[in-house]
Amino acid sequence: MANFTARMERIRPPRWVHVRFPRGAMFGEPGNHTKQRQVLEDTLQAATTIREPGGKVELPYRWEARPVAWRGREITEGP
Amino acid sequence: MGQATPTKADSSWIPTFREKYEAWFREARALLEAHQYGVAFKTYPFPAFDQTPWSPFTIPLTTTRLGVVTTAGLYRRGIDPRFADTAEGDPRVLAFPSDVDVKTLDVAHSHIPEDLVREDVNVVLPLDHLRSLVQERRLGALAPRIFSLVGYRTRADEVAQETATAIAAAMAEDGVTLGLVVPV
Repeated sequence: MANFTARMERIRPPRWVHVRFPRGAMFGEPGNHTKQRQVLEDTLQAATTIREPGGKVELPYRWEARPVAWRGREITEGP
Repeated sequence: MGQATPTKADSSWIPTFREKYEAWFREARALLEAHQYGVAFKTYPFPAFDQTPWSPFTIPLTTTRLGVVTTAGLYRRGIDPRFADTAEGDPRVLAFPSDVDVKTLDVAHSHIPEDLVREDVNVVLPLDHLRSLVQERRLGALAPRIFSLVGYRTRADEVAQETATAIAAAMAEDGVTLGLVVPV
């Protein structure tokens, strides 16, 4: 799984899931156990549905907490 | 008809990478030590891959043994030495039992907001949820070991030839049938 498409296009993993969360929180907000669980289930399920090398599943979930302060920026997704 | 899809990653990039790496690191070291990563990595010799390795996955999740790798720099307080913050990144891989008490886990990764992980380690390693899935029989089993490393590593060649191969061999020993790599 990853939150940075350009990096994954360079790396070319066998299969992957794109999550739209900030760095350091690939499964969603701290304490949001429902979302974390759903992201995990969708990720594992993707292993069974991706049939071609490099296949990707886009997950629909978005960051729902305050933006994460990181090195002078405030981010809600990506690196 | 094209070439058969490889099952293992291509390593033909490594000699070229090594030729360019030393020159890059000589120039970039001071920038890395000053945390000027954006500038430092503008000239990094990123490897380019022509193929995507592939093995079909046909095992039901209910009988899958899942191996997990986290690059969040997790370690067990009082047991594992914390990962060092260096210009090239700490090359160590830690293995801890998958029944580890999550309250004993701490994070040492200066390239991510560590407070998120300290608040709830499930944001990078969803152990509580993995265990629930196994208990509910929706996932066959968790492998006996979780592998933890720091995702910040500049020696891409060593990651490919040493780190990844060691983890793959260990997962094979553990009977893993599906590996999940969670970068940060």
